[in-house]
Amino acid sequence: MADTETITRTREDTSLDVPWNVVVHDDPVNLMGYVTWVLMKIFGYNEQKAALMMMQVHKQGRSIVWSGQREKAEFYAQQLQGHQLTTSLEKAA
Amino acid sequence: MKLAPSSEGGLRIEVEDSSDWHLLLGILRDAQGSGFDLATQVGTNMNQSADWHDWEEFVIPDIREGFLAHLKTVLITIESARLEAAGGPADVWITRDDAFHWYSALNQARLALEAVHHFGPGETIDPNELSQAGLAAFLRSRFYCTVQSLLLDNGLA
Repeated sequence: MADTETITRTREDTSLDVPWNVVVHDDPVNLMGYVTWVLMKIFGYNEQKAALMMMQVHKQGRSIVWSGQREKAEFYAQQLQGHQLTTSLEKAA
Repeated sequence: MKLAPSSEGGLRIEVEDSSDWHLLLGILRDAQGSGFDLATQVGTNMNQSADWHDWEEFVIPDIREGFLAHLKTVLITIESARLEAAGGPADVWITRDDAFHWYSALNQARLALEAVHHFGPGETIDPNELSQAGLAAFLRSRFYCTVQSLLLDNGLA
């Protein structure tokens, strides 16, 4: 019999999944109509909602355009970047 | 050069002489000329994420490939028309199907010019304060922006 004994402890750590925000940032090149069009195309937003988000990007420098599951947020970020909108992801506060 | 909406949805560019061809091919020169990497730039705020390396390795190459494909569409359209017309007057057609590729190429050119010249919002620029090269770049950027506005109304919509 060995002189030492290994004790294995396991600890369960569960927490609620935190939603992720997809954030579009302002730039001096993209036209306002284009940003609106992209938000409508990618998220299926109506023109009024997309235009409101576009104005938020324009006036405040950024807008959270979608929140939810991380994998889907990454997919949307890739889509937005593919349309040349500067985009980032952040954990929702 | 004249621009007009086409009846099928899209644009017709009426090229009149060699300087017009030069201006159109400038879209591709401006988009790629400065070594500006737009695919990285649009994701620059992602680098605060712990998964930035994965993004850089797996996502950015796909985005970059897409941008290059858009430029290729524009190059083929311009060069086909130019060769057919032997460099003389001709119409270049931007079909509705290609409208986004053209918009993207023009945007790539404008974003690359902005990265070099930092024009900012167009209305704040005093052309008299620009260098000769800066003024030429500014005017090209304004031209690209005009075509984009027409595409928004007549191709993308």
